[in-house]
Amino acid sequence: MAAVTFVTRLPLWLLVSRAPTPHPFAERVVEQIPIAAFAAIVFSGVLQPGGSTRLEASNLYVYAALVTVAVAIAFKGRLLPAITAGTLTAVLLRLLFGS
Amino acid sequence: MSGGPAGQERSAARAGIVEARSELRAGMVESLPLGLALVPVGLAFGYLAHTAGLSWWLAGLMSAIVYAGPSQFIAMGLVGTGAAVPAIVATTFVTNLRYSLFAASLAPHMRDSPRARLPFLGHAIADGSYAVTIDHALEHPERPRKDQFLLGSFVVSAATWVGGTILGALAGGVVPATVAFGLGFATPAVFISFIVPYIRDRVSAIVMLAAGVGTVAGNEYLPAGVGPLLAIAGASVLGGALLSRPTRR
Repeated sequence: MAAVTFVTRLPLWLLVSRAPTPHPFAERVVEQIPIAAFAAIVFSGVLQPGGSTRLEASNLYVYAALVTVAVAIAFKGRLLPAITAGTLTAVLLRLLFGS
Repeated sequence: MSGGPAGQERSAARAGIVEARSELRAGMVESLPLGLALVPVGLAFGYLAHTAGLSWWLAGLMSAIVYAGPSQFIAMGLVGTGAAVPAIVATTFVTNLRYSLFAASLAPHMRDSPRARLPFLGHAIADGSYAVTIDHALEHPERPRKDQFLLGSFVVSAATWVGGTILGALAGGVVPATVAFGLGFATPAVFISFIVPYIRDRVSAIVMLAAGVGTVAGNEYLPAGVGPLLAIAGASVLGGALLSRPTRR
């Protein structure tokens, strides 16, 4: 597992860091990777908690996510307020609704 | 006195060391919230590993040398179903292929890092450290030695991830269900706060939705790990294509 994981991290790392300036289109594609990667983690974490898809109103993580987005906007993306607000909201909702 | 070329070289070397240390420290400090968020995830993984029959030290070793949370969770699930080792290894490879995309995205910011360090630093690329480092690199393009920043982020992330794993394997079952439910939201919360500042225009919103919806659909209908990989790659190409369109007058 460690070896194959390392393989996924290594080749492009070595190639791109020493390669000449990439084609402008490739550069624009690479610029989008952070947004796409963050979105992939957020959407699956919120809508598929524990691995099963939960596209329903009883999914409490959806409401915790909305609160986290609001706090992240208010605090300009600072991590600690957003994590605290999101986690506390999830705990509170679980205490109130229990699902 | 530092007159002459030799003196100037010494001054430049000293300045380089100071900058490198400063980036290392910044990487550690800026990753502290991430580290806090990783503890509960580590606890959950450690507990899962314990229930799958792994000893605490083996679970900790796995977290240290694989250092890829999502694939570790999937692997434990496969262990639980009695899957064969080649199937676990192949699934791990596919699940972690997204790190190649992360590496491609980070590498242009590391052109001034010593070449010999790159193979080791490759191990530091995981979801959280990538997020913190690319955020820092895009916000401070003028700062040198982003490799040191990544190293600092890795030190904090690995310590909390491995520590959380060991703790979870030893005593993970004692966390109350309500608290565990709240802590389970810590990881999405971290990445929500990362993504919010990036959504500035129509293209970034489209990329976000394409990657997010594509990942959820892919997780539902494709083999483990394939969905996020295709969604991230596809949404990035879509974003690149949209940005490459000629603007209308």
